[in-house]
Amino acid sequence: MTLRTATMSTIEKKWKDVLTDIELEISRPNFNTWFKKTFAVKQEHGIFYLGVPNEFNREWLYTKFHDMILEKLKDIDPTITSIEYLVKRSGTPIEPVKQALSKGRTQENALPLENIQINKESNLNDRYSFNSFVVGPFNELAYSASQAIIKKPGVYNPLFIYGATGLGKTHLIQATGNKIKKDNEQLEIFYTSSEKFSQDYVNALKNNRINAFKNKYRSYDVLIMDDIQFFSGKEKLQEELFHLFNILYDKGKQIIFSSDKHPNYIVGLEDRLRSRFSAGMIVDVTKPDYESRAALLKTKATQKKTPIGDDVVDFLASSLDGNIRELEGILNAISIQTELRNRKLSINEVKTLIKNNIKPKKHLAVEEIVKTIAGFYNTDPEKIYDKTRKKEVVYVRQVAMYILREYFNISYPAIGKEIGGRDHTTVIHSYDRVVEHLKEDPNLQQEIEQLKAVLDV
Amino acid sequence: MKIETTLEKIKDAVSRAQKISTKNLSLPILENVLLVAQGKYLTLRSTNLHVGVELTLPVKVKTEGEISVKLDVLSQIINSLHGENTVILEVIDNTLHISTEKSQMDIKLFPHDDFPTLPRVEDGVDITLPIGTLIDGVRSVVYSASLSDIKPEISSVYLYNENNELVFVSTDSFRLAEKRIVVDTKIDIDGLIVPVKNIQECIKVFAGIEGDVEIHLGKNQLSIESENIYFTSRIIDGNYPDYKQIIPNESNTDVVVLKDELIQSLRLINVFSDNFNQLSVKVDAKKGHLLLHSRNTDVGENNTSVDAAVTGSDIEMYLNHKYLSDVLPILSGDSIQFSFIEKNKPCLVRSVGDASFLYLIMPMNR
Repeated sequence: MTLRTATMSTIEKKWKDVLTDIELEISRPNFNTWFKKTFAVKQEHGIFYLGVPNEFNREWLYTKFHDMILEKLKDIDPTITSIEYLVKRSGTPIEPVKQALSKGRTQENALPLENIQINKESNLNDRYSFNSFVVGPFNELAYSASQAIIKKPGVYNPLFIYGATGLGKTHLIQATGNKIKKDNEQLEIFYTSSEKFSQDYVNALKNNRINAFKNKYRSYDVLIMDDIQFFSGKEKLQEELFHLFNILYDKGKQIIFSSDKHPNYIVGLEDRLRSRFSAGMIVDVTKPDYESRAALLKTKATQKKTPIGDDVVDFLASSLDGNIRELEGILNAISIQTELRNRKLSINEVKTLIKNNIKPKKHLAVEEIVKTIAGFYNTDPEKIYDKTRKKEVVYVRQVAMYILREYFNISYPAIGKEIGGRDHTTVIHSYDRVVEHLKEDPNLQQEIEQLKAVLDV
Repeated sequence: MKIETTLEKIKDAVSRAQKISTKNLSLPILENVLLVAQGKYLTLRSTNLHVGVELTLPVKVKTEGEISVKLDVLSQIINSLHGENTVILEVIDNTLHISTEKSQMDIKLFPHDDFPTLPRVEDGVDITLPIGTLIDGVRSVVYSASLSDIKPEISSVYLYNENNELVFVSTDSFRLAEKRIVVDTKIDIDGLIVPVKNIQECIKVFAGIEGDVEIHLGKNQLSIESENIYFTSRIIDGNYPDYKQIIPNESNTDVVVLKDELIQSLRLINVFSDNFNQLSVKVDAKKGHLLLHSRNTDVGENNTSVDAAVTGSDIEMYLNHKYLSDVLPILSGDSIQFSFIEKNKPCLVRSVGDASFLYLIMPMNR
């Protein structure tokens, strides 16, 4: 660090010396217009990088003063062989002063516009950092893997992170990207959602710019692709991704994927991609446990500067399930109320506040569920309860048992009893069969997904 | 240098060159215009280092050359000439000699070596667009842009495309205007932020021009080219606020009024306007009108009702009447629809039957 500051100050000094010299040679208005806002950026391989406020400035320095500047720089440092002009906002950007804006306008409310903090080059959102990332047993492995990548990009290639929605996948991969960029400024990092990638691809096809598209994606040192499950069933896109992957992989560029499922369970994914996804490291993030939820709530509350009682944390952590996005939503509501009332909320106030926010746990009657599932497969619901062993009916019955077990948490014996008084071992067997099938049968996977949607689980 | 041209041609070029403000600049040379006679063309260049323009016109070039003269002097001369047809510009010794049938003038030359060149946009995106579309879109929203320098992102007009629609947006964080224009040509603008002063000068320079222009977008600079005009401006390398999330998609009270009636009422309101331009708006569903009220302690007060078709519940709120007057001339058609949600939520203004434009006003506190 000290070394870096030292070099910084020497190039700044060099430029200052040159400026002193130039100031004497040209007229004051000329100097003020063209040189006053210039600044030294860096010096690398004999190239002196000079920051200028805009293109007009760059153009004119280049056409009019280039030779003079170069000569003077060479006098000071003979190793400098050329100059590059970079258009940059200098040093400290003007901080937006909120008060100044509202001054004299005390009666006006501003529109609640939010600034987007997305870096234009990397497409990463600065908001995501590890400072606000809570590590717990539920995401420990994913976190360590990303740390390893930050230390040495390419070490696990690709890194594939999967888990249900709202568990912090995007936060983790974006924070990883941000940190890599911070540590290695010269690396080209790009974050994209698979949807944006496919849009880009379609646009490139339409406009005959497919080569530009290819070159763009192939030039990155770190490519982060979110929600890869959307590639499912899109063959052309998968082929493009496959080639892109191979090229980046061969060059040892880090690739990070996220998805809501393990690659093996993504329906309609080509095998060659699946196997490539598995070549690096696959880690999951699961729902946070009680302690992690409590820790999360506390961290987020501190960030929002919302005072929150321990009893409230305890109540929220135990009554909400693991979706982090939901936790944040509720915390936002609390934060707004706290601000309005200008005091800490009591546990009872929080309870009334979130009454509407917490989805009541589903209490569907088994009968209803079975009816829906039977209806989905066009089977008579009565047959499910019967002893019939017709193949179609058995299949539906097994799926029903699986869903009751997996998504409604009903015990094996209870399911057995409900569905025609069967033994609990029968239910366990059915459950295992479906689990087994799910691994191989994309149709079944889809059916289960659809059923989940119909049953709203 | 010696050229011969018609008064009409040179008048047009000089007046366009003058659309760029060159007041209060630290560099005196920028008050000048550069004239370059080359081949069969005369080029006029003017810049204030935020924007720059080059106008090319076909003339009879007798001797090639490059000179620089004070722009406002040249403009005053050219604008004072009437009824003449041919104008001859000739450099004799160290003066520019302008001669017409009836007048002979000599004006002082300035050294042209120091006249800056204009940046060209090298790598970037190319777009072809009818200039009318650009002017139309910018005019529809530009008055809403912030005029303070504190946040350069919103002291701008924001442009992007959504499928085949070109979207123009401006906001000063108290009101917001969005205009959508369908374009035939294939465009791809990710998000372009042009400082409001620059884009205003741009549409003045291109006023009255028809046909397509070529737009080149670089990282920090854009250029717009028509057959005879090259315009270039700095653009802002930043992010525009996420404005879409604040556009309400529900309403509790919808009010339709006649535009002309509202314009007339607002004139009255203006007489009684206070320092904050505050206007109280009361929607009365039963009586079917809007009650407008303004008061100034030094003048007096005013109550005016405007007939309205109201659906939904009664509501009362305070608005800056200036924000209303700004948007009325922009709205097409003769009826305007207001949509209110509640007292402290932004109110949406649209023209009835025109989905391409929307305007959002944040209410004032009492």
